[in-house]
Amino acid sequence: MGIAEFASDGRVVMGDRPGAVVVAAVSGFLLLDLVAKLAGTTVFFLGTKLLGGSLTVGSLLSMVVDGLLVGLAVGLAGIGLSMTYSILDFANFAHGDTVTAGAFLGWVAAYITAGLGTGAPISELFMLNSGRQLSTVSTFFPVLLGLVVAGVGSVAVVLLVDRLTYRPMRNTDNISLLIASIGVALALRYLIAFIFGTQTSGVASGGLRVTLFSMISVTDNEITLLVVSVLLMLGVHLLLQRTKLGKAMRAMADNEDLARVTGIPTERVIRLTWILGGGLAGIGGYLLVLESGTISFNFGWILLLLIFAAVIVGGIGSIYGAMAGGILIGLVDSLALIWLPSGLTRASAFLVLIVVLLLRPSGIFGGVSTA
Amino acid sequence: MSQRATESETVSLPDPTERLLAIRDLDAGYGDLQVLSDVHMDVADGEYVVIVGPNGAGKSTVMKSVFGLTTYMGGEVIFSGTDISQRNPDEIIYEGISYVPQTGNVFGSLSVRENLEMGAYILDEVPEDRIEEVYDRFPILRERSDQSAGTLSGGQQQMLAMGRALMLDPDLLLLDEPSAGLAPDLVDDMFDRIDRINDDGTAILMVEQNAKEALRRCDRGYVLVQGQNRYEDEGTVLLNDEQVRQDFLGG
Repeated sequence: MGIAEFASDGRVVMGDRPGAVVVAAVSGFLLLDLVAKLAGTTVFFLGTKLLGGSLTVGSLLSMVVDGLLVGLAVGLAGIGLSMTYSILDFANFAHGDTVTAGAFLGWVAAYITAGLGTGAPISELFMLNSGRQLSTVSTFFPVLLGLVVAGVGSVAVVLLVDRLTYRPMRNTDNISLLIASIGVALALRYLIAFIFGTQTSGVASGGLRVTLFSMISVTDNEITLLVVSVLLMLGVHLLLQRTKLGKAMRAMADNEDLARVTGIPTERVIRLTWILGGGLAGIGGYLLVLESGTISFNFGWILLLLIFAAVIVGGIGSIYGAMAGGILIGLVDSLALIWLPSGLTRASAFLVLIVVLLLRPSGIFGGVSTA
Repeated sequence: MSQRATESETVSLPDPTERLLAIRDLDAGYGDLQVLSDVHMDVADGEYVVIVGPNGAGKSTVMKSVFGLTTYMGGEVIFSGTDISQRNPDEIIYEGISYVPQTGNVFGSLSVRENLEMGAYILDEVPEDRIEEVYDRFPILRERSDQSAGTLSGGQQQMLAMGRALMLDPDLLLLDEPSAGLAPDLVDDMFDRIDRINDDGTAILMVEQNAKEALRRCDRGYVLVQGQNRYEDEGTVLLNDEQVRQDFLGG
């Protein structure tokens, strides 16, 4: 390619997609800055610090691991949000509080089983305030049981909510459903606050710390999150691709009217959607608490914005998009710490959301729907 | 000009229990809006019947009403001796009727094979022999087996939609404008394929915009106007009737 041609190509890109050029320039600058930081050099320009600083490879890697972990949990929780959007056609604002409900149910179960026989009063165990910190290694079975209870419990919650709220209004428009879901969100959240109070309780901490490649340090709880969420995502993938009901779910997400005339039992598929989405949301919430160590009545609600961002980045309606979007948003949220104070990292996640939507309005996996 | 097409009012209707499909005095529509009034129609075992008429005549509504997709307002739809007029689509599919809608008739993100599997959803196991039969009928689908349906051409999607509908080996196939949106050189091919499906014993009730070609090929035709029967006769008789030609076939 000749220079002239190259230059004119460049001009075409500049003219057609100025946004892409700005994004490329900013990314290039940040990358340069990152390299400078890793090299430990600082570049000054006209007396002010232009770029650089110091950052060890080890801390960069642990940021990546942190982001990946949060991202996996967010992706797990996002699957349900994306599915209810594509199959039931509405944005479920109660999804974040399903995450909270599942996490509380799971942690109460784990706490009580771990505390039995230690002489701690049941009431204290139930309120999650005995001061004990659980970890996968030290209390394997209670943590495992809690995981199962989180899944099963959140399934029960969403099925109950569907039966009481959404099913009677199945044929109404999606705005009504959306508004109903906000009501459900508030009801769930303050029911939890009513029972467990509004304080933040510390319930988990790493029981064992392993150093990988002599640089990255991870806890047993973090490994649990990683293993469980990867296994579950794989399970969802197999379910969707290999099983009859999974294929029917994809079919229904694609074209509900055609699914109906083909003889797919749509009510059953809807129920499975709730079961799968709710269960994964509860487990996602439980795992996040396992990783972060603390639980409070509104953490799911706060997380919901991040989940929405992940699902939209991935392409709303796409299950694989939710997984990929979760990981992307998690990584951005964590890696933004390199450049921004910790209070602003959330904002960077939404900045990435905006940028992705500007460049690819239907999201990364948009238009591919569930496949 | 040899024979006059029969004006509907003068026909004495056959005994509905002897017909595969018999529609009698059907009133139907959407919500409060009535589209069909007093519609009657018959399809015998293995017969190929076409509904033609101007836009908005309610042709597709007849199909949808047979399949339980409209608001029932009165009358009967009798299939193999049972009244199915107030059943839901997911029950009707068990009776032996399959329906190919005009648009959105494949699951775009599913593979070709998965689309066919969905066609047999109500069976306990995937009927491999049926899939093979569909592939034999439409060889291009075998080639594209693992490709997602959304990437197929319009004609291929139409074949897939028919293949999906044939998975349950229905007694009656409802086709809503199978030639719509096809390139002109594919239209004849599509009609040939429909002929063959009918030759193999499946009765067909079809709505078609391409009225002349459809009437030439079918056994009998109905002309529907403003939600009511206007003419009915053998396809070629309708095709050669001066009144029908002038009013509905563009001279």
